[in-house]
Amino acid sequence: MTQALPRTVLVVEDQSSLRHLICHTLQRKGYRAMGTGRAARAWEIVKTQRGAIDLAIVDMVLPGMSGLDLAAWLARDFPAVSILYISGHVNSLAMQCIAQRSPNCVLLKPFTPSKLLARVDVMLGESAKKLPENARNSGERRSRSGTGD
Amino acid sequence: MPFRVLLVDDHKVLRDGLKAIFLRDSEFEVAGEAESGADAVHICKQTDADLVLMDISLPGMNGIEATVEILRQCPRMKIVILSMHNDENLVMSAIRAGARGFVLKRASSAEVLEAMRIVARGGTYLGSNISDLLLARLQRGDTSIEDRNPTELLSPRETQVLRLIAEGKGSKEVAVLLGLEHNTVRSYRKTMMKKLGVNNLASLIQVAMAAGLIYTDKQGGAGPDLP
Repeated sequence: MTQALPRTVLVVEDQSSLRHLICHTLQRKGYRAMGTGRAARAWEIVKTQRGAIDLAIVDMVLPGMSGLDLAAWLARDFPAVSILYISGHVNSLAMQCIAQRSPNCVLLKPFTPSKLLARVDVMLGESAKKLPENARNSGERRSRSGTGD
Repeated sequence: MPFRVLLVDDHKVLRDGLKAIFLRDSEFEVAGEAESGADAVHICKQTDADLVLMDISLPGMNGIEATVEILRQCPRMKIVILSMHNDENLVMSAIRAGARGFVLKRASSAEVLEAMRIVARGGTYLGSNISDLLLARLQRGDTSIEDRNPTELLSPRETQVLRLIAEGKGSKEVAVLLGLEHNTVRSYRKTMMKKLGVNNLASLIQVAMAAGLIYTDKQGGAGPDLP
């Protein structure tokens, strides 16, 4: 019987303290976590780690390319990567639009570690249902590395 | 009669959310949607939309270039820019392109609807963050935009080519993205260099950046050029 690999989460958040906290929280729960503060770098990571990233936690407002733009590119080119949007702009149109369609994909700041983990568990549980059994196990998954920047 | 709106955003989730918001407001009706600048131009010619709600970051032709092209073909169209970016140069470029409103995606849906309402009735609207930016620019005495932006010498098509080149795309890739012959892109490149008075690629990119044609990542790298 094969051992399932931990799921990998990419954290895209420009506030380094929050990014590290999210990565640390995820790692303690047994997830693999990688972090960056820039959308452009996140894009590179997803491209080079093709198939290895299960979930991207994306801050909506980032310097340069926005989190929303990054999410649009990911949705188009890597539809298997689930996206959890985080933002402090509670009433923003963008968050409202996303929450309307997929309430589980939105997490408003500030959030507690337990709330974050609950949401990540739900999202990765949903994405796992879409995968065939063999793809969830180690045989077909590529090796992964890295933690927060 | 409700105002008919064309939604332009490459993010489907956003388009769906906006549709739901407009559906709840009897003053508006969604006339169509587009996920690229080129689609927006094409659909504008075919629908009887009164207003366009336009994103800036779009694949191929961006929202500002699409604004120029739509207004060239449909001069009575009213365009409101809806963007994540509150970059001064982008705002100035959007206004110069003919947009009548500029709102950030971090604004509330109520503010976006208000902007659309005002623009539909013939007015103009700048989100509060946007007007703060412009006010700060005016207070700095920085009003000589026309004198500082040599890209105004370029045609809309040349501007498109310049932006894609500045984003790091090669001539062949630009040709594919814009549906042009490779030689045509090379010819555009030569013409642009002549018009802008530069003689190498690095200077061309510098001009594009100074004109706000591409985003500059405050942490040192280019923004949306990677995908």
